[in-house]
Amino acid sequence: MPLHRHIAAALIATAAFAASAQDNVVYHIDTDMAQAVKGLRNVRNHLDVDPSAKITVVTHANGVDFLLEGAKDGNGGAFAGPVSALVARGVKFEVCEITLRSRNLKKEQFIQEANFTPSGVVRLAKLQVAGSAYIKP
Amino acid sequence: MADPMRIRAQAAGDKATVRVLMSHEMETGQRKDSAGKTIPAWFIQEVSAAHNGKTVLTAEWGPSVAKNPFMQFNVKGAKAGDKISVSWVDNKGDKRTDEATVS
Repeated sequence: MPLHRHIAAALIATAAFAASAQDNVVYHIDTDMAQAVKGLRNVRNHLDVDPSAKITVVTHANGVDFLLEGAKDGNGGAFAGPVSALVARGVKFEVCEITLRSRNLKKEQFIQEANFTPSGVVRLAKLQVAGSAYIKP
Repeated sequence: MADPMRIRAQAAGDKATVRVLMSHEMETGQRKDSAGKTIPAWFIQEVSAAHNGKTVLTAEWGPSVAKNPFMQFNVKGAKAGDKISVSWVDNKGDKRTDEATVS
């Protein structure tokens, strides 16, 4: 009975979907501090609503600035606190190493929570091919 | 095996400031999971630091220390090129040691 087989297949598909309930999401920060503020707020709200989400924040170009030691937002608030709070909730922050070379930055200038990736854009592509949702705040 | 600690040691004057970021769950044993089952305690119990192999700090920690603990201390007489190593042991017997060079 083809119809029965279809229903069975649909049920199995639903079960498989339910089993992988964890969403992988990548946030892309590459512009400025204002984008970082907005992005961190988005990530925080994202985890409030869906605590199981696996979030990676990929930064390059001027988007790496908020991960520098002592970085402050427009109102003078430090970024280090909110960033380490998100790291404690499982968020991973990654900095593009090509940006380090082109802007003459050193890894030691970044907060200790920061991770590094050889290329921000390659990382964005790989994560999306591997099934991550892409959000650009 | 737990993730490596991130250690930075910076010399200034006659001392070095060492900052350590550890990666550990630090589960208190008081929390319950969504099924109402207690999550077993899992936390760092002993921390020690050494300057060129000589112990300069030991600490006993408990379940009240937060997840991914941050620790900062000064080492008198440490200068650029010296080695600082930090170790921890948790209540499951897991241990980890990482080293950094003073800059």
